[in-house]
Amino acid sequence: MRINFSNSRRLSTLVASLTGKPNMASLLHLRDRYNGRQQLLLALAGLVIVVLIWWGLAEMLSIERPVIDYNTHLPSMLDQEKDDFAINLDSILQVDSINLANATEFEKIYPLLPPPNEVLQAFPLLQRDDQLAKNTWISVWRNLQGYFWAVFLAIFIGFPIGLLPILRGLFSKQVDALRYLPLTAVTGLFILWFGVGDSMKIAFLAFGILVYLLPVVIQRIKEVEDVYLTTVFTLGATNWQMIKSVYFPAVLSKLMDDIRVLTAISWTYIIIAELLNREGGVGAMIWLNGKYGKVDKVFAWLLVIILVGFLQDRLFVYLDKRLFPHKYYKTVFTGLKEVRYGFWMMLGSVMLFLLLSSIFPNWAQPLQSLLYITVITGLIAVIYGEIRFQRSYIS
Amino acid sequence: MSVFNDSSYKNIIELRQVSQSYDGGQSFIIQEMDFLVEDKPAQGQFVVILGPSGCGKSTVLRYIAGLQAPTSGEVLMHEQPIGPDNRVGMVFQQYSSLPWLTVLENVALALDYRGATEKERTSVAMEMIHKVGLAGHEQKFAQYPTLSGGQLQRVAIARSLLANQEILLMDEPFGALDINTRLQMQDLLAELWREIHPTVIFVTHDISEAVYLADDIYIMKKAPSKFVEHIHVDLPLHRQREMKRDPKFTDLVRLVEDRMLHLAGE
Repeated sequence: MRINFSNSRRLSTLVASLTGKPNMASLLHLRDRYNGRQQLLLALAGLVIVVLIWWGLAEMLSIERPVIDYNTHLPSMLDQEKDDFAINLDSILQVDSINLANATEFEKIYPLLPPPNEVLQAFPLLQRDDQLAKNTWISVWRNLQGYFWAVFLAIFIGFPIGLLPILRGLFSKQVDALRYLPLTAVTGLFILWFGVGDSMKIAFLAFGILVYLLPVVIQRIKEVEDVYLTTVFTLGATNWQMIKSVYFPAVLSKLMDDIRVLTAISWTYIIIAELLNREGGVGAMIWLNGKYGKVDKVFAWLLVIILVGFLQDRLFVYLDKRLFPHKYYKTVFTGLKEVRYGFWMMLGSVMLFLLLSSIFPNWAQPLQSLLYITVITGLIAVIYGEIRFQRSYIS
Repeated sequence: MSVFNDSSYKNIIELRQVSQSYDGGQSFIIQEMDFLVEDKPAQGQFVVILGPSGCGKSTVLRYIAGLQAPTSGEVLMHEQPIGPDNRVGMVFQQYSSLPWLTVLENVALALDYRGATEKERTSVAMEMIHKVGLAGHEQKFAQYPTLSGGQLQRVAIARSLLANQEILLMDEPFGALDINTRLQMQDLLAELWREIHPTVIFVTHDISEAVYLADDIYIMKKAPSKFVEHIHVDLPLHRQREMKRDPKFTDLVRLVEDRMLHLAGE
């Protein structure tokens, strides 16, 4: 009884602190109004609210369908009574409406918006019918390849344009103008140039990201602070050393944020590309399920995209923390070097693999096994470094 | 031997008939300016440049650092024109450390550019880090507010001295610091100067700071910019805080003040 009482007291103070007057006074203090626990609580409550609204809407949009034995053959003239004849000449729809009128039993279906529980129940179906893991991986791998090409090209085109005044004068305006190109309008061209296979999808995605990323790279180069440049100049840096020790780190550490923001857009493009010919991938699955009216499965696939996008975002944040630790930490820590080497190794070898296998297509097979080795080595270095870091962190 | 040189010392830095125009020779901001600093190898030189805002004090430093070339005239270091082989470190008022590098990596930058091995870099840089009083901070990233403003300027000083032990250029280096840190940094600089005896060329607006640190004070005027006054600071080489109460010190501060005001009135 006592415990109960104190619990209810605590709950009431918690509720009071969430809605309490003293904090609500002004818009001035928006940022730190809720502590970590309160924020978590609010997020959970928000989730519940959204799910409830979703559920309510689904119920509102549901319809009652008569339970009919659809095995009955189409009515033919021979087995009709004379009286029925006139009616049964009409369309199947009419038959349906008769069935509806005669029905005694109904079942509830959700043709437009499936409720949450049905969406959850569709996941095993995705696993069984739609090759969940395989199709997800196809899309993720296309996405990654598109990203690699876009980042690669943005850096190798963007840096010369940003760093050489003559190139900047010649091309920076065109690069800015490219941003206004509606990407969906060029899908036809990409099919014409690359066929309908994987290379078209990757090229399309790469182009879509590149159009945004390239002006950003040039802009980031412009933004590099003069004081860093003059400092390293007075310390005796050559042009190349200046690029290496100022331009690259300054631009890349900011570019990481830009790339992260583009993740969301990249999923839009990959789905568009996969709709063009429906050979595997999440986009194709969504289209097929939509065509057959399997709304619950469509929703399940959408959730998969959201989940993958979220994980991708977290991965980028983690990568950012390890590759550019100065943005998050005060000092270097043990294990950081190994983690960094591991990541550069993985990213570099994937990039090199994509580059080489596109230039020399018949090298792809042997290179792939080499790629596995380097990626696994990099992964081991990352894990080793992380373990060292976690240990030093605890002690 | 230059005609401006009246002692037996060689010149470490010399500006000869330097003019600067930003509009293709229509008007000159700096006109036929001469400036020279002697090399006193075992002792160093501490030269302070004073003058109103916009008189070209920083431009003089930029010439010497090779960041800018004058429209006409010569800038010489050890009687050689300024070029890639004789770079001089410069400390700015803004924080100039590369934030993605640690204190150690920042201080060792010049050694890195010269191609020193990691072992060499670490040992030399650590020695300098100890000298500027940053021991224990070497693994921190050199950014505000992880390091304080004073600490960041210590990084900049250490880094510049490793680039060139002979000459150190400082453009209002303590301008952004609070008064306590500023006084501490002045003492640190005086101490470093005694220990390493570089030739320091120091630009400031603070007259008391100028008298406290300088052997020689040069006053500039503007439109067109020129050095108009040279005041030798006749105080003991070993500067200490108590000296600020010495009538000789206060007299000098007043003298410099008068000259500056006189210039402004002209």
